[in-house]
Amino acid sequence: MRKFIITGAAIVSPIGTGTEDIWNAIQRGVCGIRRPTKVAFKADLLCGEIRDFDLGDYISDKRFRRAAPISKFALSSVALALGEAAGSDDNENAALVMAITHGVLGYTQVFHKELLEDGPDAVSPIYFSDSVLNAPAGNTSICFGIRGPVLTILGGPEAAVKSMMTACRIIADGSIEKAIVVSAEELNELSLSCYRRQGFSQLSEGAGAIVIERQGAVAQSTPYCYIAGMASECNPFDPDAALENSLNLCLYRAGLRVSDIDLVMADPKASSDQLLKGVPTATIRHLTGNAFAVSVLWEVVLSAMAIKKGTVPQNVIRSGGVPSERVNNVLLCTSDRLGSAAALILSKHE
Amino acid sequence: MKRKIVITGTGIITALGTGQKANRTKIFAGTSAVREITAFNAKEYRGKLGGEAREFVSAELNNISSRRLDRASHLLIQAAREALAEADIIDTIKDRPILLSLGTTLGGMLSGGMFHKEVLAKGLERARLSLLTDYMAHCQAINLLREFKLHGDFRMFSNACASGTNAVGHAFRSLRSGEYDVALCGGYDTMSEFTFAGFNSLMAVTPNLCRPFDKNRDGLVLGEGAGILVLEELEHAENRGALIIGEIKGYGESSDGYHMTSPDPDGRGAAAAITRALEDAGQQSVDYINAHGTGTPLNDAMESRAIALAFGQEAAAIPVSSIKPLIGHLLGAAGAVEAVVSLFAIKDQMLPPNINFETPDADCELNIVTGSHIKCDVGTVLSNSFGFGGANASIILGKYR
Repeated sequence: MRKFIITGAAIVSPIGTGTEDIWNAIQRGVCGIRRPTKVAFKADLLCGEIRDFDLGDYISDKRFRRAAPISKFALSSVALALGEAAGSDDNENAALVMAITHGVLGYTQVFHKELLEDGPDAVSPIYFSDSVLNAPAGNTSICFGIRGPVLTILGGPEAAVKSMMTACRIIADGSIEKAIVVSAEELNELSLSCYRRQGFSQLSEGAGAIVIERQGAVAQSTPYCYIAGMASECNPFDPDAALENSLNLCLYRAGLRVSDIDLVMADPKASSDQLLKGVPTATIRHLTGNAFAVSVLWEVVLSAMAIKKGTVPQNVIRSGGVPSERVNNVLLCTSDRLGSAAALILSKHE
Repeated sequence: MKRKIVITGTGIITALGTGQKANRTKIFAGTSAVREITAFNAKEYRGKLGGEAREFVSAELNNISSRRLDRASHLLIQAAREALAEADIIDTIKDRPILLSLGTTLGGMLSGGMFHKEVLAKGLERARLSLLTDYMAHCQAINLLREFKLHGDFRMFSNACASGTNAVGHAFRSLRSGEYDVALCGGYDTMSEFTFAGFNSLMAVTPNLCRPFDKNRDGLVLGEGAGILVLEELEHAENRGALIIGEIKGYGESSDGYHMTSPDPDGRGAAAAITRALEDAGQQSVDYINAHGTGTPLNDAMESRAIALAFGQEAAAIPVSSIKPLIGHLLGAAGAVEAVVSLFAIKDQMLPPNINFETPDADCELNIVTGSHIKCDVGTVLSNSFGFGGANASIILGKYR
């Protein structure tokens, strides 16, 4: 099987930005879940809000200074990930796949409010064009001159894995050697209010990005890891079966057994306990909050770092303790009550 | 050797009607269903016309409740019902995983809009959360799986107006690589004031008639609908004795990397998508081009350049038409509906007319199909879709020989 290598990675999150900064923040036990400051909220509410963020710290291109926060998070994470990948700056032959759960909430709300309250002549075309679901991907492709396939994939947390699968498929098709996978979300008062009313707290925002390259085309001397296996399934009638099938297919594709897995990175709701019994499990969400597909990509980046470093910070472990052996294989899985599940295995690149 | 991927079922809903029968005759006759919009008050807008699927109220539902379903789900499920029935495949795929690959720009935006209206009227805490049940686009995919008692996996693409073609292209590639034997794919979108106001604010909506490639073109008309295709690996289709409607021969995608709302005027990105589709199909030309042809000055000039770049001297001879003056621009559904119409052209050996075309434009030197019921030997069709963000997708459909 052709190997797909992760050569660059980045996180923009409530606990920090970058990769090493995030690692250090996790080790220090930094928690980004606080009361929101960007939206006025009477109710007692906590969330993972990104503060003191300036796009100019990452991108000198002024065209995007008025872009929606979600686009700015995506742009900065891609800039950092591409910087790490250390390949050519020419992205003419690169692909971009973006995973989105909610999309551009703020501008959508502003545009719709202006339309309803002030009529069609009052609305701003900028709010409209930047509110479409593929606006973050479009802005990113424009900023970095990406001219291969640029796709936005919608879904819950599993959309991150599906985006990675799609990126690898595009590379496997032969014409593209490098694909960037990014996921981004932004908080606003509507999402905070709706999820709080549904009993879901600690919503979060930010972005995660990785650069995937075909083996043989990698310029990076010390890539993170390779993607050993991926699988996803949707079974609305049996969500547990969807998860189990995804896990088994992922292990099969990776040529690994459960006993080969050093660490499981899973959202707390993924009911994988039976199949993965005894393997240490970890998550970043108690520190960052939950940003759906973005959280999965954050955990992909964290897993890639764990494999590169051979260990994982104690503060993300939720069961089984820190692996005693070197971390070589990390399994990520996610599932939701609608029946969507996905699994991914990252392995040490020799 | 690459696996061959064939089409065994299609479903279509447009302003012309629900189902193949309602659409096919009117499309070749050049009957336009573009009328004054009724879904919302369009009087204050620059343009007031749209292609609303007025006759369509709701889908036939057997396994899920219609309560809280967005119109998007209704359009999607009804089009899928027709496609699955034509393919006569439900019993075959009940117990085996299939791929569902869909494109949309709006998802359940109508529900989201209603919720936001309530927020403005009643406040954040009193707006009904039930309005958001079918807001997110992946909910519509899951509704479809639940209604037809299917499982497998889904991909939901939102690539602006290229979404439908991206979804069909992804399904094609996934089947060809052996991941699945059967896929249900296509796109859907509803008529929404949010989108209408957006295109209106960009001065992209015509106050007159939509006339793609005409010198006097001045904008698009929006529409709503859904297009769904059942794709099968050839051997799978043959083994179950399926009637094969056509074949997907190639797919190409690219991005302009140029501007959020304007296409690269050179047509380089779009030409790359067309060229990749041709290379993928292993051919140098096609018999007919179902153009994206929105009727906006920038898109049509760009698409003409892209066709010229991709086909060279032969470009001037290939018949080209856009069906958007007939049904409107269906956004995320456009590529899928246009793929279904391309199959009509292949099956009926007839070209859909590009109505309202009167004055040739030096920037669009194409062989525009103007008359109705034009017979033609249509073996292969190129269908183009281009969208905001510089998204380009092209697909080549062919007669199954």
